Amino acid sequence: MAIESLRRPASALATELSGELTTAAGPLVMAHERLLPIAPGLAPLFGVEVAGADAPLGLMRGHTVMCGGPAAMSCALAIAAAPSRAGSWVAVVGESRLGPLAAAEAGIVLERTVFIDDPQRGDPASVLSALIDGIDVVLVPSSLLSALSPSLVRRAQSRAQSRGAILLVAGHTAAIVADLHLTTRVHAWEGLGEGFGHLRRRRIGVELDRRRGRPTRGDVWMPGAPGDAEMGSAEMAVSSGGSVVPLRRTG
Amino acid sequence: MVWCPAWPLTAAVLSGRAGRGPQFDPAAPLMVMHGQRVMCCSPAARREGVRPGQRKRQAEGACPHVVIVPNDPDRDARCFEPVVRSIGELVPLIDVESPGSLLLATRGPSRYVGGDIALADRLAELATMGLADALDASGGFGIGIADGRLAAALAARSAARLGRPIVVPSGPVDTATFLAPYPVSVLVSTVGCDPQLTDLLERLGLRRLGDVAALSAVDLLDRFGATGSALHRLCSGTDDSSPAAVPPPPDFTVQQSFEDPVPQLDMLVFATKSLADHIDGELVGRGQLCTRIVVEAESEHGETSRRVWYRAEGLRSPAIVDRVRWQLDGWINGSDPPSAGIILLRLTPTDLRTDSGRQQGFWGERSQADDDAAKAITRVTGLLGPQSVRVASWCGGRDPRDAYELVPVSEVGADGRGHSTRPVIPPPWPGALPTPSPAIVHTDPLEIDVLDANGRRVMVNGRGSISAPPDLVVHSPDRSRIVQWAGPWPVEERWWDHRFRRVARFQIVIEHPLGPQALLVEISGGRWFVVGEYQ
Repeated sequence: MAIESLRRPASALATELSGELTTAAGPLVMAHERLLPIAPGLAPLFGVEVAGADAPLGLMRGHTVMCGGPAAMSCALAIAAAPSRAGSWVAVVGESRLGPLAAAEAGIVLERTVFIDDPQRGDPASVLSALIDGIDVVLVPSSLLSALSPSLVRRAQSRAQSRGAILLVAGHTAAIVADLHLTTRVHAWEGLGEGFGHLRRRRIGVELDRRRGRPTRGDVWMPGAPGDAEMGSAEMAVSSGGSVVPLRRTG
Repeated sequence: MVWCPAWPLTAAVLSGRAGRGPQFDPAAPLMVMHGQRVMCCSPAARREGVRPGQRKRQAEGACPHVVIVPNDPDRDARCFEPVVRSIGELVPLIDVESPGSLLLATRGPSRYVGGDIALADRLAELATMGLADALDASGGFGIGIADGRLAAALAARSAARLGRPIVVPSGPVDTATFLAPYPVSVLVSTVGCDPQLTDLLERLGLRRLGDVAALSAVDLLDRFGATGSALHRLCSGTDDSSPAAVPPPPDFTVQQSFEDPVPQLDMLVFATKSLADHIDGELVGRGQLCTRIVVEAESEHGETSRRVWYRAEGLRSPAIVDRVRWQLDGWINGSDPPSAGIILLRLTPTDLRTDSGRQQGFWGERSQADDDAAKAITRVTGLLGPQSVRVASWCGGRDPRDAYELVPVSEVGADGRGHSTRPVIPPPWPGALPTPSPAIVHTDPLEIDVLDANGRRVMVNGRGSISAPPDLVVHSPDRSRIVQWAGPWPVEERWWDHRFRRVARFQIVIEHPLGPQALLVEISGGRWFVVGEYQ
């Protein structure tokens, strides 16, 4: 085959191959177009400089992000919030327990958010691929992925990779090997006492594990500044330890 | 202006004859009450001494056998529609102010029929066509032709009293002369002027419109601002705000009834195709686009399915067919299917707009992401059914479960333009929990048990105090110690009906191997539930 093609004139070969080559190479995509914004609070974890940027770019399109641990949902919402505010759409699939109020508080723009019922009633493969084709951030609970067949999950993941959608998994599951794996643990809740106060924020330890490279760790206040998770320093944790305003019943 | 002094009475007589309400005799004394006052009365009642604005007792004192006609603005508007349509045959652009009163620009039509007087006669003929003696109940139409809204309205009122059309010569001087003798109080009923303002004018000694027109426009502007200068323009006959004339809304409703009930979806969808093509053809001919459509279907046994569909980009024929298919598929193959075949299919386009084509936004408008998302949403709606794809719509409430309602995207559209009730920043709600809100909300609350240090269930009494501090959460077989808590925050909701609910809410933080875990719990009827988790 190769020798035959070499015998033909080079121009004819070039025409013949050009179609094949363009599809193989795909359209030219600049590096920054492959990135979505990340919440400034989480940016240091991703090794992104915060300086000056409202929502620095740091989330690679096509990546699968899994958030595990006791603050998984809040962490997933924080990650979805920055792209949502930058104009991306968010689809929440098969998670009827997610509170839209909490999503709005996390900074997700509800005008660009759709809530989809559990696709297992219908055709989950078609539903997931339709969403991945058109919507930038697809949030699925880990329970849904565990319930689907492994081959379907793998296909969804590779489709997300080729279409440049973020598959965001809330909760830990072995059904998928994520590109970015965030594990959360809650250090302490602030604002609540023994019979007084109200929940204000919590300090969360986040560990980011990439498939390649060393894991990074950091502590985050959630909620931080309105709409994003704020990266807290050790001093902040000490200084804001006892700022509870006690509210007691008086009569 | 064409004006009828007591249209509700004519409407009542007409709808009585059409079998849609009680019968009334147009020649008998009739009146309509609104807010304890007589709103309008028939000429027969007027002869007996009944006047608009009287109390019921006064009116019945003047005329003991007066018949009270119920007030029903919908009926009035419905009965007025044929009048608008028949006048619409002659004059295409009509501004219907209220049932019984319409305004039209006369310059073109009067040239067409040969002068203002000829036009007035022609209008009277068209308006009274088909009404016959039902018009006796209201005293007939008054037709007034004049420059400006105020002069035309006053001319029409005088015309109704005289029983012949009045034409005021054109030009500011003639108009001002015509207006001058009227008292300022007519401004309230004709141009919607604030009654307090006319009251003030009277107390200032400006009793007639001519008095106001005699003042300098600058002085009125100085004293009353923009209202003052508008007032001067009105009274001096130089008001040039033309009637906001729009064509009467065409009715694009199409329906198909089937002689034999149709049970199969395919046949219905096929029938829909021709209906949708008809609507699409009509709209394309007018350069319009339908963005909201009502689809109704009725079975042989009288069960109906009615749903509103919205699409911001407009519903062309294939999109309409898709939506009808989704709706009927959900109905026929759903949990509550009709017990017989379909006999009627009706499509009513409700929101129309000019088809201006589509253009990609430059800044802040529709982007490629929005288009891609819209395609994905349509596809998923087709796969899972219209009820399965929803968007959050703000409705408020003190409970995190109530603050947003998920509504099907097919009814409101995905871009937030279809529903009007979503604030950019949701307003604070009295009694709502402070932020942050629980990320996980259990719509079906999880029952738990909350125990005090002695192992007894913690209770909240009617005055909102707890029996003992909570110590332990039991969700068998797990037992978790409570490390922080706050509450009770009692809530009494909807005490006025059967949905009455009395709960006390707590925020608690329990021990967990992976760090403290915060929950929103509530006690209701002596049982504890987890409402939300701050995950």
